Amino acid sequence: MGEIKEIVDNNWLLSHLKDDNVRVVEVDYDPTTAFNIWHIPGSVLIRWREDLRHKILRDFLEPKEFEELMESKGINNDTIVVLYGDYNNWFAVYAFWLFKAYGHDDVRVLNGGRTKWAKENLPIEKGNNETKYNKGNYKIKKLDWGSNRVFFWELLQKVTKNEVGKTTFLIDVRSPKEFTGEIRAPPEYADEQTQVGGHIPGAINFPWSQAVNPETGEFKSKEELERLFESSGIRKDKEIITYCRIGERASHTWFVLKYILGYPSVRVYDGSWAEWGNIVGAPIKKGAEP
Amino acid sequence: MKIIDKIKINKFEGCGNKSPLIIMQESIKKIKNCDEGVELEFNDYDWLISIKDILKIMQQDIKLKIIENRIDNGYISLDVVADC
Repeated sequence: MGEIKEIVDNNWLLSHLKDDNVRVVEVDYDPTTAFNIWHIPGSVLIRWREDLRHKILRDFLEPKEFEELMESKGINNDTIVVLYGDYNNWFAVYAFWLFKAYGHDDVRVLNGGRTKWAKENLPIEKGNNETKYNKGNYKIKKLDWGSNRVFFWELLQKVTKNEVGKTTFLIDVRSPKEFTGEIRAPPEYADEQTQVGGHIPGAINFPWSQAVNPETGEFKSKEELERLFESSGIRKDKEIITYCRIGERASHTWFVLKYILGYPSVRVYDGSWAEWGNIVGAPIKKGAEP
Repeated sequence: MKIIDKIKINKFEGCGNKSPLIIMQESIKKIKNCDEGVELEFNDYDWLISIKDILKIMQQDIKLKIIENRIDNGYISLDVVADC
């Protein structure tokens, strides 16, 4: 992955841990079982739910709040931000998507995240002691939701006008059982269930995990990924939209397609199944077929 | 030693607001007697470090220890057993 600027490996990070212009950010859905137990020395914590979500709406924090968050973590506009986090790096990559929408110039993902760092027994700090840095100076220069995000109403139009599978490829990156409608969410997540199961008509099932090495959590090689996506019929010359259940796994596949494979037009439908599967009358398909 | 609970967690299937480590802790909390233990299987090295540290700070009436069994097909298997 050496040629892809948006991905760094453990060796790179080890040699840049003390750089003033590099900020390592752990993004956790549940810090109590991740950052607070162990984290990369010198890293700062961003909590997915508390720090990045909108206080009232189902949406993300306001630009002004993003600026304040960055400044509180000692991040400037020109800081190289390296993201990693819990749950297979999902929320780190979800945050990467958000950083891109908010126009941060240099944001990168640690390949393999916590899994590979732990597997290689690299240095860690224990406990919830977050390193404090001098306040940053941050101003959002460009807000770009348009090239990164799809809203429900736009996707509904594409589905009802039969564009899915023709001009637009819709990729459902959930597990096969979620795709077919056999389950709506893993059983232990009762509060994230939707009213109905299944998938958006026309969507192809390409589980996100196919893109990573199961032992280390690292992305597979570009060549291998190309083979996988091409053999699934996911073509570069189409518009691609990814979705999952709450948007984090969809961001992972979005990252693979856009930054590793160079697909020109990829967006995330972050409303995902948690939205679609609760809308009255929204078209739904059950079973393994698109 | 009586294994009173078995948990197998695939990191590729978990998704949601209940961390696999919370699920493991709930299993460990079932250990009440000296002859009891639980078997945990998972496929993430992150969780191996974490569960060891969590055990050190878990409020449990009974002392616990970890026996690491094997790594098989990417899955780390360990028993958490009463140490008394």
